[in-house]
Amino acid sequence: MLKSIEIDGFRGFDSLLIKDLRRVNLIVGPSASGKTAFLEAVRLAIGATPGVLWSLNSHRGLLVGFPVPIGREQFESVWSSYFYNFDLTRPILFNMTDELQRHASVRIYFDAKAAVTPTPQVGVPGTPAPSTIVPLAFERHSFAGEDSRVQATVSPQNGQVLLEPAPELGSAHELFATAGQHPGQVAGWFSLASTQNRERDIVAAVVDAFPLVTDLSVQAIPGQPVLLYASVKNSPRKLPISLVSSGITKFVSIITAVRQFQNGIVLIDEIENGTYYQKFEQLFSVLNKSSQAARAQIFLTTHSLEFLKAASRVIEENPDDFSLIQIIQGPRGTEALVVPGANAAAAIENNIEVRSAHVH
Amino acid sequence: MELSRELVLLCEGADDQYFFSQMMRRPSLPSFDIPFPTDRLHGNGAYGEMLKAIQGAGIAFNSVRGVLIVADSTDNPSAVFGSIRRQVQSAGSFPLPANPTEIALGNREFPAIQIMLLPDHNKAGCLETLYVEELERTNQGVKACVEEFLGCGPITARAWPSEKADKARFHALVAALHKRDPGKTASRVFDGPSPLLSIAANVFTPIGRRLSSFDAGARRI
Repeated sequence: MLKSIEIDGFRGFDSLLIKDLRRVNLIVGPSASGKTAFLEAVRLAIGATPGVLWSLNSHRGLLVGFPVPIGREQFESVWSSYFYNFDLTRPILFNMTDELQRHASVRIYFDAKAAVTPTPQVGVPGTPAPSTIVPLAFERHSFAGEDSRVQATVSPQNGQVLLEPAPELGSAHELFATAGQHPGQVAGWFSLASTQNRERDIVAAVVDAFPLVTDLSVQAIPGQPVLLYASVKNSPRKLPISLVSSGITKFVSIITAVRQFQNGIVLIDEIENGTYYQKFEQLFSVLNKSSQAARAQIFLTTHSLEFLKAASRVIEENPDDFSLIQIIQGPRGTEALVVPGANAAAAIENNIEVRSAHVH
Repeated sequence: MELSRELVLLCEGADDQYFFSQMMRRPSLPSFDIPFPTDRLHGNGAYGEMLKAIQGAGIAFNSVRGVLIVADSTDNPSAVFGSIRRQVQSAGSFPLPANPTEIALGNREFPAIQIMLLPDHNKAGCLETLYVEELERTNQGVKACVEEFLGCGPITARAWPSEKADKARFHALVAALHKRDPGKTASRVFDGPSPLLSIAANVFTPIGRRLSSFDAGARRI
């Protein structure tokens, strides 16, 4: 479990240290304050591979392809939005501590010493001359004390972009973008839970929250993608869960992920989206219990006062396990403050606004 | 509510909240956020929880430079002051005033604190004590009648604790004097086309001065 994270030079974060993180962390703040970027920072800090970095913009709906060969300007433009003020000369830095007071760090920078100039392609008309590419290096120091390096670079043979694979730095984790999760991925997690005989808890939680659903199962129908299906009252056939309700799909996918990522981190953007407000307390309660059972740390963003009200009733039962992180755009870029769970719950229950972060 | 001002006032009940909201309409007096009472937090035993709740506002709380706690003196102002002081201690590392005239200066993490008693730290009673004083001043001859009523036959209200007796006096005065609405509550005394009281009355001026002096002295150092 992360206890602190220092973010330097990433997106809108100039330099920010956030301490006293808890098992469940609720993130609030105005639009464009940096809530999603904070989730991305945690995802990238724990992942620390070129593939994870590339995936962050795709989670935001920005799918970036790589021409072959790629020019230097194109290569750098793929990464530029991750750097503070688009300054490619300033490294992105993350420093983290966990609950055992161990330290991990990541440094992401363009490494001129590792520059690559691909061999020109002979005999292919219209192919531009390759330019020298400066790779994006990831210097990593793990919680276990191991140092490693991985990079996004290009093939010296043909100029094709290579996102070097490597084990992620931290334990298992997942980022839920606002748009939701791929149905096949949810089916995969459910299958994994099923092979470990853990799926009944998930089914019980879903049936309890949504009595319309009587059971869940993964179905592999020839010629069709493997999907999670729901048995629905008064329906003669099982239905793909996404056809039943996007809210139920989100509930299932979040709970399944948390159960799946034992000792990991689950990041959820705008948790309230797609969920009926009267289900918020149940969603948060099940999320909390799942997080406890799986020892998974949760970071979630929300704009919803109804969700915060529902959450506060759960927080009051065990406030030391929770924090509220307020994120704002201040004079020094993105700023954040961690409010202990007890004070956050007291404020929310007494209708004191915790989302606006008014600075006089 | 959003904490949008640099000063916060914590009080016991809706009548106090209303009174101080009206006071802020007087010229040159500072503005306070008055976030309580709520359904959950009210009364003179809730200040510790109120202080925890305003800390929950996080960044907005960090912009607050002073918290003025207002309570009824009752018959034992020093006991009330001591009780509130203990509640302040329980809510975090807030600065602690030694007496009701002191503004305990804040620091980087916590705002300044003052504990103010009504009608005054040297006088038993409550907010209604001031209302009664003003109603008796503006309605000559009524005081003796009300006192007789409150001690008449089996009625023993004159012997009640002072803050309760003054609330009884206030309601007796309203019932006797306000033909338009004999049931007018303390939360409406300044309202309507024929208000029972004027917020500009001199009896409230010392409270205005204390609000101003708190505004002038409350800061984080």
